[in-house]
Amino acid sequence: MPARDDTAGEEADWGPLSGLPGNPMMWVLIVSEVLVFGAFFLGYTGARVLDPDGFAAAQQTADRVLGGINTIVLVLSGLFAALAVKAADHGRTRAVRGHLGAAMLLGGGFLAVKVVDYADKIAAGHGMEEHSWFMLYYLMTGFHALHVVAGIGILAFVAWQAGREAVETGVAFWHMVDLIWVLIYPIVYLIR
Amino acid sequence: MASSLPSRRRLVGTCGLLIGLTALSVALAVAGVKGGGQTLGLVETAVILAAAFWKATRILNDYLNLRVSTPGWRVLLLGFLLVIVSVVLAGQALILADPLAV
Repeated sequence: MPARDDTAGEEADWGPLSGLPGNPMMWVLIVSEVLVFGAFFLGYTGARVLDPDGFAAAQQTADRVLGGINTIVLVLSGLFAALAVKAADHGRTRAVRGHLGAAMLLGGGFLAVKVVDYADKIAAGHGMEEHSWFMLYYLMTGFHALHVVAGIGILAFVAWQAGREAVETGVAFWHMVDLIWVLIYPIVYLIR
Repeated sequence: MASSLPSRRRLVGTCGLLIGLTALSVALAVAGVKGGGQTLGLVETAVILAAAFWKATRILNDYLNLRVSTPGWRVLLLGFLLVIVSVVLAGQALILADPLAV
């Protein structure tokens, strides 16, 4: 289905991007973010292979339970976001806002858990300078957390708009944040 | 494109699967440390990474609704994710091959 350019009121030709659901510009962002985080993951793995003992020792501070709770919180928020798109498709504005509100609330919960996670490490004296694992941990999870903050803002904006394309586009960003986290969690927290 | 969206039942099923795979991954990570050391075994690592890849696939296909897209996009995105998990698994194999690291 060709993408629609609302500013022109005509069907725009986005080339290969026309085959993607939602606004093609959001997919440019999604692909870019996946590539950036992909580079992080590859760099992280390379650094770990060069210093497995140092990484293993530093990773003992990674709280697998908090990370697991946050994974569940994000996938639940993803469900509410996806349900918001369905509601928008049926023109049910109140349901759109309700589902997006739940997704944003869970996003806030994710950030609250992250703050607890960071506070525990900082209180124990684990700063970025201690080991390259801590630097990569703070960098990757912090960059991701900034995306969660941005995502909550985007969801709030599209909840106000409540139109099908706006909701589908904003929710696509939220799912990208979800997608990145399901890779960060096993790579940084679980695999030691 | 109303009919192209995943059903509510499928979305709820996907969410349940994602939560279940997360719980499985945590259990394996806690139980799978090799020989009382600090390094996770290769089989446990492979299962955890397979679970992560499966979760990413379901997020892309169901939450992001990539299943309505062209096969080329699915191959491109899922192929890139497969490269990432494969490199991580290869890294774990290299670490386990060094007996001093276990």
